[in-house]
Amino acid sequence: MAKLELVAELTGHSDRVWSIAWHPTLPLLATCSGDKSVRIWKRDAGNGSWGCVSVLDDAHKRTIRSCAFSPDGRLLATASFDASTAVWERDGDSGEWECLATLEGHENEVKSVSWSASGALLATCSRDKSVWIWEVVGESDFECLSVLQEHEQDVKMVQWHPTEELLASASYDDSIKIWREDDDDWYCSDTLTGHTATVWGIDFNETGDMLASVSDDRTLRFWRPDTSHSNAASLGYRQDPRWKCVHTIQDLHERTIYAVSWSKVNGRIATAGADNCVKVIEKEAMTDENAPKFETIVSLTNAHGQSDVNSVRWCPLNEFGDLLATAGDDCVVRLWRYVNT
Amino acid sequence: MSNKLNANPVIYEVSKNVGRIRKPEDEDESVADPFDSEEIFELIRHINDPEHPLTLEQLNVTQQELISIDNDKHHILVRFTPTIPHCSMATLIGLCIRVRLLRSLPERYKVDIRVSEGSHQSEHAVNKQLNDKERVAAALENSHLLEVVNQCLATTIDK
Repeated sequence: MAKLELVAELTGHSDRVWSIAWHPTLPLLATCSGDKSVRIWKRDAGNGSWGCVSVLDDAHKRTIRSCAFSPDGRLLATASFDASTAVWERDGDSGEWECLATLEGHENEVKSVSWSASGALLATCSRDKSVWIWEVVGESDFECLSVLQEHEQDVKMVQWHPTEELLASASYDDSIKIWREDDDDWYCSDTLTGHTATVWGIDFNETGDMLASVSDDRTLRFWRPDTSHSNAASLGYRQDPRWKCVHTIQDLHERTIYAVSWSKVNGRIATAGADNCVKVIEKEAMTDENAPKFETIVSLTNAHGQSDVNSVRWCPLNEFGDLLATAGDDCVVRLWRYVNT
Repeated sequence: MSNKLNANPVIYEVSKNVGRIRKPEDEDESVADPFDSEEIFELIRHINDPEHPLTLEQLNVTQQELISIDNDKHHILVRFTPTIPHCSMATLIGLCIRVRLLRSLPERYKVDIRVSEGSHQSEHAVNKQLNDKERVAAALENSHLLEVVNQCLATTIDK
């Protein structure tokens, strides 16, 4: 039977913890909170215990909603309700993080930040309904390439594709949009409809040929690009595939689902929500790619006592691929090990 | 405020209950003491309307019958009725109720706040905003808005 075993309990934040980001190459994670700080936690190579190694608390005036490491692990971006996004650099020798740049432009709360696979682009989104694409120019400069204003409401989350320059955004308008670039021009290539309430979280699988989304409608949906219709190209139109919902798990949680994480190491999916639960879902091996089947293999209640669970993230390192981090309204971050006995 | 949306609201007689009548089981320390709708109503009935020097109870915006509780699931649903269907204060009133309960109830309670069905022309939008925890968290970091909420809650000081 599969289960999640508690590995570590990380305390130190003094307000609700909103989001978690794992470092791409080190056993280290960043968490951000309503206490306006980011905490960096590291695994001690000696005894294997986890502890706080840095507190970044001098860049944002309000809640820090989201954080993300660049693919090379050198930079950390943080998005705040103070309408700004900060980029921090890690000093290789001291391991200390210093604020390198502050990205301004959104009218109000920035809710999510994501680095593209190459690390050359950054995306942010806000309650102002826009998605911004930023280009990294030189050591510490960021230039806004595009302001995308097609969502009708708040944009809750942005997530880049794991290999391509393709961006997904999730919104309070109940939709997900897919954005692509064509000759320096960023455009919405598809709008994914089906959720009946705010879409809070999205994540791609390892290869990026599937997208998972979670919502206030308490469903987990899976989407795949439909490449079967390609006659548009002969007519001179853009040949972007349409994303099709290939599976929906109804009533997965009893209240709003806030987060979804798709492990790039072992393909397992984890979700977390306002019903205090964390779930692990696995795709059944021998299923048709266009009609995949999924099974809920772990259902952990009261993962953070009687608090909402706001974030869930699988560790991206092969060595620690069974580690799952969760963050809650109880100000605590927990690390769990997925065990199948 | 010279241009009130609803200049002459109907004023309702308030419940004579000055506080909760203690029941025998309230004194028994050995049994669990779950919340009932009367206790929740007691917490919100004295909230001041943002526009009028009257309480939400006097304007019939809050009613005990519109509160439902599931103590097993720690779930509380509070519905309220704006005085007029185009009331632009509906979100603010809902926010006041939410903040009042946030500050008074144990953390384990999950609270949903909705306008009562058919009582507001933007019912869906108001409900959606009031139950989005991120929007509520951001609103409460706005010092001006927080001040307005605190003014409405000034009349609910615990006795």
